[in-house]
Amino acid sequence: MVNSMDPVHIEQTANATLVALEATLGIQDARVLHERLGSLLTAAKSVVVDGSRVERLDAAILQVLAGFARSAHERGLALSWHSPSPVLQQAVHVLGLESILGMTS
Amino acid sequence: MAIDMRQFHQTFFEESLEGLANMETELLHLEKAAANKGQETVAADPEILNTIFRAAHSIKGGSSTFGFEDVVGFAHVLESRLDAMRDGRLTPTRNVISLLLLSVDCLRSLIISARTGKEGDNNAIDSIRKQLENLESEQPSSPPLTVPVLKPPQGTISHWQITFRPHLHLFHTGNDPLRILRELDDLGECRVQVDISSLPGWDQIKPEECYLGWKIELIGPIPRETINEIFSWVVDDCSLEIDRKPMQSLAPRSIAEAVASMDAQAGTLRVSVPKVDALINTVGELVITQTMLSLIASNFSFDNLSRLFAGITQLERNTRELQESVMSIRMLPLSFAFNRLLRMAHDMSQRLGKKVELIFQGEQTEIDKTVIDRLIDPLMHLARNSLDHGIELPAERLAAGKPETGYITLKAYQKGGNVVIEVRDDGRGLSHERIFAKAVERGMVSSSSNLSPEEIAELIFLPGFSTTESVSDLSGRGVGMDVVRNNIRSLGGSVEIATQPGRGTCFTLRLPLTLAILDGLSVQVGDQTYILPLVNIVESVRILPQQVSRPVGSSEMYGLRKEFMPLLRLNELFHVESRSTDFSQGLLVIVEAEGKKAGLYVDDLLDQQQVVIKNLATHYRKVEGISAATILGDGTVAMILDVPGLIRLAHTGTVHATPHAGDSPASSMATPTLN
Repeated sequence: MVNSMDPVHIEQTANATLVALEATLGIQDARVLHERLGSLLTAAKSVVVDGSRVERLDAAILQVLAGFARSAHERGLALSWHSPSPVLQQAVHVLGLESILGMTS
Repeated sequence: MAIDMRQFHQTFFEESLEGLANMETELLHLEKAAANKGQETVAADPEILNTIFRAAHSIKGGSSTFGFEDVVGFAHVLESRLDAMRDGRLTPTRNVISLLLLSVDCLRSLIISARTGKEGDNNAIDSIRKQLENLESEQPSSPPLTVPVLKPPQGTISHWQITFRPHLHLFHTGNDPLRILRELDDLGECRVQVDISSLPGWDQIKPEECYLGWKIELIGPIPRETINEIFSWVVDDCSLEIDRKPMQSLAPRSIAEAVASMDAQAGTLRVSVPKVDALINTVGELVITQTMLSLIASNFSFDNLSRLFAGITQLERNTRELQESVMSIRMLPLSFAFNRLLRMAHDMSQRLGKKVELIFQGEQTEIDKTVIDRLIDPLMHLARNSLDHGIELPAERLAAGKPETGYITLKAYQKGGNVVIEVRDDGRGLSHERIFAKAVERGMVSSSSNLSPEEIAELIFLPGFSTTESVSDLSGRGVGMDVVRNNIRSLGGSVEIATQPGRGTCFTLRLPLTLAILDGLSVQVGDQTYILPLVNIVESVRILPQQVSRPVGSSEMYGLRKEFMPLLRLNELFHVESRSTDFSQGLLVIVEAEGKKAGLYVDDLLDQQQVVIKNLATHYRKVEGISAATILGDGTVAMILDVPGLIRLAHTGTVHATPHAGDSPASSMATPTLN
């Protein structure tokens, strides 16, 4: 059973893996997020991260995402963003992670 | 009926600051007269004393009218001392002159406080005021002055460089760097560079540990305490460096921004009466010509044809003259910038124990006001460098067979469409060996490289270069020469350096007379020609289609040597049909502004040329990405592109349509090729 507090929902579509981030994310979710994303690094070819729901997050979460983006890039995995929420965009900007996350806002 | 006095405040502030500048110049003259004669006291020229007195008097009058009580109080004390000096009750010794110079600083600080509503350093001001009040009783044997250092008022813009490296356990303490950086971001203009070099490979990442670090540049009216406070919870859980960078205002900016910020600071321009008279004369002539032409038109016959042509020729001449006189209103003599250096040289030579004299030549050369305003900081920096590093101590100079007093000469003259300014000192010159050794040490060049003396001298313009053995608070913090060059470049100018060991150094600045002419590169997009300002262009490359990617919800990106930048297709942006449908046939011009890059896709590069900027504002609404227009040699109109605007457009990604609301993200994804 999927934990109701799962930080991400992962869905497989025809040409990409869709990763939808939860609305509220914090350091307590970082470990699960790390595990779930890790499984995609070997399995997926292209990943679309849907950040439209994100309302709250912290540096620990963004650190995991940054690590994921870097590893994805190293393994030739295509990573793109779907309508990142203003909160997410602002946090990425404030921490200077735009280019690492491939998110220009 | 009550009059709203606030409408006059701006004029009062400007006039007062100008009065203070005059007062400062005159005081420095007095001081120089005393120094030249090697005397402690000066037999002051009554005219100089009157000028100084009048400035203080009108500041007191104005501030009391407008109710700036702090200014009134201080100006009153100063005025009474100056009055005593006029009457001969107080002798202008060098000590007194130094105190009066400090009083000018205090008044300036008080006026700026009144203008910005921010408190200055009241303790320092009170201390100077007390010394002024006690002055008369202490004559004739006045003890040495105690000189409190005026702290910059809170409104002063600071440029902070913060290195923030959280320890691994930072997250465990419940602290979130995101909160800290958000708070910093709220304080002012914030540039963040993240360091992910400590972030281990994916499998080694422990998500509860903090591996990231940041370098933050923060610009704004921010006191150090505010920054300390933000980090107060984490000081023990991170390594933290907070440094103030000098010359904050030297950050390269675009011309448009410079103009905007200047206009915000000084909404008015003081113009000499003869210039206005000339303008009125020309307008008068224009009216006469217009009357003549309407007379011809009202009873026109072909017999009058030659008179009509004569009238039109006259109209053309009037228009040209009008244009020239209007342009000349924006022109100011360079002495505005040069005079600002006198005080700096005075204070600094005293602190360093050096004897220095500034010599101005051609300071009446005129240049556009915007250029002058942006020139003060670089000039200040060059003169400060000459004084600090170039000019030797008196004993050293004597030993080298030079006169004890060092000279820094600022010489300005016009050459073609440029104004040339030379900043020359007769000091020790640049040491090529030291510069080369330093550059090798900093990893800027390899020790085996064989550089000519000119190439070595050029190294000092590299970012982060500084050879000062002891970092003084005056200059030599490794920021400076590169920023000076950037600043001059942002004005469309250039800096060159020539040096002779033991004989001195000369910096030559070349600046455009006006910002109305621009060095540009013309590019072809479809059947249109556009002009790109040369200063913004980094390089041009042939496009590799496989390097283009398009993340969902964002505009196209181009990967150039591991760097990703937004790609803007000018044909799509301006709705012009591209010459070729084959993407790989075009070229990519890499442009840069405000530290950000973008690639502009164009059909072809045409020519490099100087163009005259024609303003569009009165004729058309503002079009994003276009700053002005020009007329090309063949008479066609070409738009001048606004590179900072284009880059902003590219980075906000508003150029391309975002996916429709109903689309699922995956289906709206345009094959991303991030590899």
